[in-house]
Amino acid sequence: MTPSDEDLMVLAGRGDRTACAALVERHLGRVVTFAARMLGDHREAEDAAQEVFLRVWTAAKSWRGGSRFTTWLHRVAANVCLYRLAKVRRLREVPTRDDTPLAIADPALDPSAEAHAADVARHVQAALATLPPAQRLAVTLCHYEGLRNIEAAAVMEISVEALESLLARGRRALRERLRPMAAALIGNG
Amino acid sequence: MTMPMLTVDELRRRLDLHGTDRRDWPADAWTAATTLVARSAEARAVWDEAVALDRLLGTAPAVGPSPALVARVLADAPPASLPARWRRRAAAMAVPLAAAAGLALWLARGAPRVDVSAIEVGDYTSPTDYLLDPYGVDVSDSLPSLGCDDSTLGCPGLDGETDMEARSRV
Repeated sequence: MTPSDEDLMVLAGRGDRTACAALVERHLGRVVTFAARMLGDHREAEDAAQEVFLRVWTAAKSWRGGSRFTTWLHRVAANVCLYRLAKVRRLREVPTRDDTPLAIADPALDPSAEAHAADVARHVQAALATLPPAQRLAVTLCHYEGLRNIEAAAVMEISVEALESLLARGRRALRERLRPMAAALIGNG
Repeated sequence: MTMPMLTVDELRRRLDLHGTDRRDWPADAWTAATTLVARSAEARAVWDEAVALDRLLGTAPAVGPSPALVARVLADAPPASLPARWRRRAAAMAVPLAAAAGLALWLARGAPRVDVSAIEVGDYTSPTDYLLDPYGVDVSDSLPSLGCDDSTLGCPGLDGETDMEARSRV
């Protein structure tokens, strides 16, 4: 039987290297992807992921299994990313809002479907990066991490109504930014 | 029970709030929304746009961790500790080991020395003498005085004379 994340945490706290490796294999990739979507930079995301796992190892030593591991991990990752975003914003002091719709190449004119997909992904990431951090976090948790609204609200430690308010504003902003691409998608069926 | 009616604006607002995942919708609102979408072309367009946005967001690829990051993260992991069986055995051995170490230390230092110069030789022949003669206690005060009010019994006076000896001297 496959051990649960919570069981692995207990074993990791006792210095079980196999359990540590299993936790890394299960969750490091997700944490890096989550951080990349939040921070918009792969290197920064890897640093954030390492910081998240430092907290995992520290918590493992006294893990009592009171809460679900994945909820707890999302919360830690969210806090690490929000802290980094706040730090970067303080350093740069640049506005992140830009409501200009993104223009993309017409996929019919692009000979490479792969290049087109990469182009779309880059534009989606750029649009995501224009959202304020709390909206970006809400969208990332619900759209990319696959959490239900009630679960994302628990991660962010806010009410479902507050989460849905963030989601609504985030979706409206993204829809405006990505309207040309969305229209192309609808047109292509 | 009548099903709540939904307008296109209300549908748009609901889609912003709940997305297109049925699990995040209140059941009655979901039924009303799907009914509206089936009947109204405008509502259908709103719905399709929301679905397209979901699909677009899904195009952002997942990025994997680099091997260097995996190595760094594993290097930070808690160090391996002794197995529980060994830890219990070590704890069980700790008490007798500590006792043995204490005994060895005591033997190495030797028995405590007594400074004989502090004892007045001649007054005491053994430690028991000293214990039986505590400082500040007058032995003669502790002699029984029962019946000594009667001078004919020859009780000793404080200076060691009997009453009869004192009287004969007088």
